[in-house]
Amino acid sequence: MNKDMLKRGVFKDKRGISIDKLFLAEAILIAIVAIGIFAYINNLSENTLFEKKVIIRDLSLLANTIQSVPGNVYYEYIPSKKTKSKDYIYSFSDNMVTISENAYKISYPLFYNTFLLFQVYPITQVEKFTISNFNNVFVIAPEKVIGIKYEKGKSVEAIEETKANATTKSTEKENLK
Amino acid sequence: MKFNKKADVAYWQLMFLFVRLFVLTLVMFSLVFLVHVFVDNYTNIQKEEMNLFVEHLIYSKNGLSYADKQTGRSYPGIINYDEVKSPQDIEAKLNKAFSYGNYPLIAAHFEFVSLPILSVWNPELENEEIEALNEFYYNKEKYDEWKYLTGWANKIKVQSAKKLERVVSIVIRKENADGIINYYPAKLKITLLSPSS
Repeated sequence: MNKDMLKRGVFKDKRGISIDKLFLAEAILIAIVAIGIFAYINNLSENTLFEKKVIIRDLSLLANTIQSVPGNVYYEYIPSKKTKSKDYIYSFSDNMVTISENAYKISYPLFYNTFLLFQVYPITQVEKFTISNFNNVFVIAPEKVIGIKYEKGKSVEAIEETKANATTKSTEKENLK
Repeated sequence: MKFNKKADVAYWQLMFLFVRLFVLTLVMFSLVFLVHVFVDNYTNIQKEEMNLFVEHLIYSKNGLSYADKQTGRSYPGIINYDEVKSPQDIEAKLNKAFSYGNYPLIAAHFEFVSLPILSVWNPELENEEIEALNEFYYNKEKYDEWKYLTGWANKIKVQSAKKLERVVSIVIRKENADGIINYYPAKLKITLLSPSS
């Protein structure tokens, strides 16, 4: 483009624009789109969003199923080899299963059977973790824990509703005695 | 149209360049959209959640099934008449058994579609009356909201709900004033709704 052309603009230029320039513009456009698509696909292969979405739904269904079982259940959840190498932190709180990796979090709802007593431990970078429902006590822990684990000087951490429920139950038992 | 000059052809080409630009952008965004649709479809567990809800109701101690308070044993498929007689009581029990907190995922409607005629089932009980059991809900507020979001027409909308109907065979356990327990076969129709978004 010469100086006159720049002054008048492409459309006002009486001499018009050449087909060569159009081909060049098209080639650049195709290159931009192709780079965009390749970058997106490359990002998808490295992205762990899909993996996390599958894991949280799997864990939510698993926790719901274990709460629904009429008998006693002990289940060891072993993450896949690919998942083990990642810095995932699992948490089960406020009716949510959450996987967090660095600052990024993804959650999915699960229900609480408030007739059960809950005890949930934080799970960080573990080979496996356990989910159990023994005698109406639901436990999620990084190690084998069945029922309530009492520690000296520490109270049992249960969710609010179950705390109330547990208090009622214990009062009922005392009244029966 | 007649192109007399080379420049006219170039302008024409330039106009089509914008059309091509638009089509290419459309292709790019549809690719992203398709990937998201695939991921959402692949990870959709609504149907499993709804089926699990029904199984919980039938098999769990804290669902609809009768559980012996002394032994703690539950009897899958047997529903205690006194427990479901009052819709308020059973709704309160279900809300405790399935507490989704601030993230409700399921709402349900329960209806006894076939209650037995006592004289046919057991002629000795001809004089005894079994009151018709009322329908009841789990998460009624949301059920009333979501029931308008089902169907094909709503699938294209941002908010839609999936509906699942199941009819389960049950046995109603009724204990009369003399302590005699009778069992009556019946069918329970469960309509479940779950939001898609």
